[in-house]
Amino acid sequence: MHHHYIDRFAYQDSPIHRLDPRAKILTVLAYSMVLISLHRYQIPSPGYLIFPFVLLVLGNISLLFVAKHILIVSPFIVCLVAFSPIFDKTPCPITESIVIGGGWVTAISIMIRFVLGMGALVALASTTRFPELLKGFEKLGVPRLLVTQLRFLYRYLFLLVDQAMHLRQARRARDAGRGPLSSRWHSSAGLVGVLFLRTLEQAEHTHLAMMARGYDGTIQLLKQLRWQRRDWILLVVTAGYLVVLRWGNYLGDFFGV
Amino acid sequence: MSELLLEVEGLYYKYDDGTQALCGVDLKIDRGETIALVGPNGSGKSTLLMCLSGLYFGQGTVRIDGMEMTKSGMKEIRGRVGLVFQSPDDQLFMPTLADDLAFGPINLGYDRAKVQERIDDAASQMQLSDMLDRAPYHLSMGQKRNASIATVLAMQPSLLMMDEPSSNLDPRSRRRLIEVLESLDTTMLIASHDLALIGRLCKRTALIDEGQIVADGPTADILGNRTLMEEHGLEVWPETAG
Repeated sequence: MHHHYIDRFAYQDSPIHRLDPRAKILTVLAYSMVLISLHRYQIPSPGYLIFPFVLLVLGNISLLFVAKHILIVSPFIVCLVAFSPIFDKTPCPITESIVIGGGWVTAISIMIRFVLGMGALVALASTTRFPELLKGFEKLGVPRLLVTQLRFLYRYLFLLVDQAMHLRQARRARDAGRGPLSSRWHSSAGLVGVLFLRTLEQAEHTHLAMMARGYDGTIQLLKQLRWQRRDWILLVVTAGYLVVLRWGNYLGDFFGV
Repeated sequence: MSELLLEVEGLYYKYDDGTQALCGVDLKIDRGETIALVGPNGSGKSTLLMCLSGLYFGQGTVRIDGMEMTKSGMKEIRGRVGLVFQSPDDQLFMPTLADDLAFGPINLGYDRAKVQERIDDAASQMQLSDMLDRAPYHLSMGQKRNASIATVLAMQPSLLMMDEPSSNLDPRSRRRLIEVLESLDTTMLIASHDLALIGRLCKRTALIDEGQIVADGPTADILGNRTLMEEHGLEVWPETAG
């Protein structure tokens, strides 16, 4: 079966792809923190667009692909945005004559921040191979057990999806999609049970295969991460950009500009 | 003169649910031999392979290269015995093929240069040199099978064991696999139902049923013995049938 892998653009080559995953993780994390730290009535300025846009364009990532991924996860944020104008009625003047509820400003702010944050995250995932991304997280101090679990999840998730699809097809072949709803619910429960057992079986087999090759509790990858000058440059430039973007006004006041 | 590589004496194994899978297996394999292990489903083939690779511990004696298999000596045993599982998805669990090939040698404690050398050798033997950066799920079934074998070859075991190596392969992939296996200079124990593969690769065959080796001898004699084969739920190999 064919699957769309989240890191399918990650196997390209570009200046962004060649950066150390740790540098990309740290900068995207810092960018996200700055976005989150904005006041709820503050709409991000156009300058915030620069960071994800540069990563995506230099990384040769299709903007359509990014838009699709943002749309896929948008329902979660849309619910949050929808409730904001209902609960927050604080008057918020747009001009001298136009005053709207603060909830509307918050909703627009959240929506823009969501799109920007997702853009940066998709850029990270699309310019970094998943194993290397995990290696980066591991080197940055994320617990090894969690990283190992994510590694196996990524390796076997598609296999599990395949098995689920095969089971579903086998059920369809017998009930022709016309069985009574109660019976379909019943068989769905069975299907989930079988899938669970197969997952356990797969885990056991994989563990045995690992043991047969000397597994002692640690997994080491062949490719080691190498922090280079370009990673320092990314880190310093992004830090400067974020400081100016977030605290530029205060700095201007401080230096009397 | 032949040199004894594997010696199994009175090996018994019982699963936790009480199923007696092996009932006193005796088997000897000389260095350089390629032996087939045939038997009906549930006869104990896979269990025997698990016991010989030290994944299951039963009662009895297993010696490999003169070293008795014990829990404390497993690290050394891992380097001597390699097992290729039936499903490549069990065997290929790392993010890239190169990482999968490196997994065993790294665990054996080799330095980076030695690990790289092992990877290159195993990949070359299994014709995978240009696929090392690929993820296992991007490989075809035939490539996955070759990759599974390469992961074990990278450990350079004295004894290479394979469980149903030709299952789920199309004829072309199967033919290629046989050619590659023929080119390997390793002692092999192959558990399989694929009589054509066995006929081509193995000079000797052991027949296992109900946890015991019931026949052991030249492949043509075992696979061509209609009474013996049918008695144990197997088919006679057409090329030996008179």
